[in-house]
Amino acid sequence: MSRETMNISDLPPSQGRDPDNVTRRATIPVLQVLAFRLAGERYALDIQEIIEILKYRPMTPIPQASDLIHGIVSVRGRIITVVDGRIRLGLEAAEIGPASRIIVLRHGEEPVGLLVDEVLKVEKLPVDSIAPPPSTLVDAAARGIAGVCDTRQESILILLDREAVLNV
Amino acid sequence: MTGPGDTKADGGEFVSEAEDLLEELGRELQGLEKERRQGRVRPQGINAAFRHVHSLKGLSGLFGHEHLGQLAHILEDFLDGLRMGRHPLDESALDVLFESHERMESMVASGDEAQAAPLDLINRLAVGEEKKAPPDGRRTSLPEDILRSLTRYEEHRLHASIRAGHELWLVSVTLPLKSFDEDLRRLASELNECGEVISTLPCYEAGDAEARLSFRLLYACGFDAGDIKEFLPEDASLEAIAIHDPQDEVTSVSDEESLAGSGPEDDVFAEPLDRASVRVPLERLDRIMDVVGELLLFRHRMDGVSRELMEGEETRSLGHELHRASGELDKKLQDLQRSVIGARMVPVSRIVGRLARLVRKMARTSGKDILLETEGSGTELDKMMIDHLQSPLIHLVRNAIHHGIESPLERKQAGKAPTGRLLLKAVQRGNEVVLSLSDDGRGLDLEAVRQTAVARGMLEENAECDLEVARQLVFQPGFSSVKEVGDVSGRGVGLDVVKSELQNLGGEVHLFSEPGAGTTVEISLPITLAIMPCMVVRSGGLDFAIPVSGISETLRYLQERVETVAQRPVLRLRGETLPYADLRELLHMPMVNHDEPGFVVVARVGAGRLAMGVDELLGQHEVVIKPVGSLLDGLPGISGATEMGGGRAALVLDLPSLAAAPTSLSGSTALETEASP
Repeated sequence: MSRETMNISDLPPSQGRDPDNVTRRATIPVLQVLAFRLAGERYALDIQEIIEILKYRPMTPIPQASDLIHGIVSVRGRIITVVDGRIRLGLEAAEIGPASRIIVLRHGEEPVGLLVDEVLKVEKLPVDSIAPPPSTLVDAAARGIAGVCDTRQESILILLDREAVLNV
Repeated sequence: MTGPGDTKADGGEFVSEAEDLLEELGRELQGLEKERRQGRVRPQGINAAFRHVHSLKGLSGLFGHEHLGQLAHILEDFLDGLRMGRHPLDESALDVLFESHERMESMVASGDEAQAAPLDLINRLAVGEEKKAPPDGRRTSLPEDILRSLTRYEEHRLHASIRAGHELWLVSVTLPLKSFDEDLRRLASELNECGEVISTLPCYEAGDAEARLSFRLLYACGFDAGDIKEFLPEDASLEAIAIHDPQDEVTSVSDEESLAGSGPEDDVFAEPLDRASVRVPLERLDRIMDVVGELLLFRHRMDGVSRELMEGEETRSLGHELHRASGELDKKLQDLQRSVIGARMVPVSRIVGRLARLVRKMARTSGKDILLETEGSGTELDKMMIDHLQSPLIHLVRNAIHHGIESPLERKQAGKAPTGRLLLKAVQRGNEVVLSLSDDGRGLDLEAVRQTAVARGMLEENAECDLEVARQLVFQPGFSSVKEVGDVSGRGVGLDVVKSELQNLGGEVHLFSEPGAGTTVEISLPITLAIMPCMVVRSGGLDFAIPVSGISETLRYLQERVETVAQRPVLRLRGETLPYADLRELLHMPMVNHDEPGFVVVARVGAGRLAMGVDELLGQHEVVIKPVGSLLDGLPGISGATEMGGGRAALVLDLPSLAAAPTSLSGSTALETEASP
């Protein structure tokens, strides 16, 4: 891959599926997620759902499509639809900056992009540290929020459900 | 390509090769059934089936598929028995052949070991081995050297021909060394049209010119010499072989010891095998196509650079040179593109096998007698199209058998032949292939259509339903004229699904029906969706590709040409009045500044035309059209996207849905306002 892509599927499958064999040996299973930033908040997606991460590039907006659709872009001969992560989560519209990234996710047979402000890092979350979304957030499911995780080191990590997020 | 340990890839190779062989076998079996009905089974069909089964046996052995190998082995013996005349090709033989074929297909599909050993079929195939036809006692005046060189199989065919009362001829031809292969094949295939070339024997007579070869063909047919002569080159000679009655002579030629060397198998494999081809997954061709598309884009960039160079004083000659080089490159790239498209083409016959089996099966279960015939099945279409055509065609065949073709009794009463005919016809017309499926059944039942439509609330209680209305109704969603979910047809989906599936392929469906005489469904499809010549336009800062096939002309925008009729803008063009709209309006794009468009694209939509204002015309490109993905499915006006270089994508416009979309200015009936030219 070129410099501008970081291809997660390039990792050997065993690592991608079962990082460091931690899940088998440790008493508490671990979920490996990719953390990213959207409007100042920290969000995360299961790393298994992710194909690659692309630098932001100019996109073709789609007339008459929903606001959630940021546009389409051609990546190595495939047309990828990019969903605006901020609008999808009900946050203010995206500002494209040098840190803006497109997280390419598996969506059935096709790849779909999610536009985010910044990609942070890959984190391992013990599954028992993941709590359901706060009850005050009544539309959590509609927004695609699957749970929250307080790692006590940084701000709260909001876990997204890939299928729900891309259900636009 | 794959390493020796790569078992998964090997498995895929096995499946695709086995599927190919089974498909060909299916086609031969279908042919045999048809020939049997006509009372004229050609041995070539049995031979071909035998070859395919033989290859399949080898393939199964190679990949360790034991059960499939067993079945192929016994089936090969069975077919050998048929071609050697040990047992007849009757209805029960065909049944067991078709069933074996079907079983082998499911074995290949599900993986051999998932299936039990096919003992039932093996037992059925093993019987009838002993029904050997009695050797014929009659003798011929064939020269000894020819008799000696006949294989056991040729020997059998010779006797079968004598028994059938055919005349025997010895054809001698001399052919140029350079092309004898092809000449001989052509001659044999012409002769086989109305007879059978039993054996082809080269002559080793000295004295002939070095650049020519002589052959003798042992030929059996029902015609006299004059008729045969038409097929032959002028210098060929023809000699009739006399057939003597057994009373005259007693020596037997079927004495197997007298036959020289050749085993029973050699001649079957002598027919040219079409194995000079490679199997390539479609994705790889897609990838090549993409790369070619990208190369063409680079070419356009080179053009831009060369134009800039040509403008500079010092760089002018360099610019010209680059321009020429880029023009040459363009030609070669287009060649390449055409070749890649060519590689994607497969004949329509690829789907015929499956349809034939469906017809056979359905005819059985419904107690009808039906023959599927094909015409033009060599017509080629993009592989992707062929794959997607399968399910709509299966649906149409089901419909024809279920609703169209009557029972043998009904047909007799209507004065028709008891056997119903289904004809699948394929014709190429320009960049389109027209497929039609016709039956000679009862036609569209107008009263039944009317009642269903009324029951479904699609028609007023006492509305008339003529053929035209019925033709529209049957394609409506939710319309299905079957009262209950039938066994063979009507699984809750109707013609509307067929129509939408075909529209997704860029195709159109038309239905023609004549009460009592039958129904024809005609499908027209583009040969390929992979590439399309498009006019690229810019509108509101975005690039759009419009298929050239849908454009009738382009012109400069002139304010005075646009007027309004009943508050709707129209464009006057050579005395015609066309509905007009800016493309930005049609797509509901913001009209930031109400600039006048620079150009007008006149598009053909259905029977009418639509004039669209665009900012710029960027020129015509061969465009590789890609789907936009499920999130954007069903967006009006858009049929796909294409890459414009540097990762930029342009949308490909779908003219029919664009014209149908309601806009603030033109309204939803834009096209109806146009007086047809």
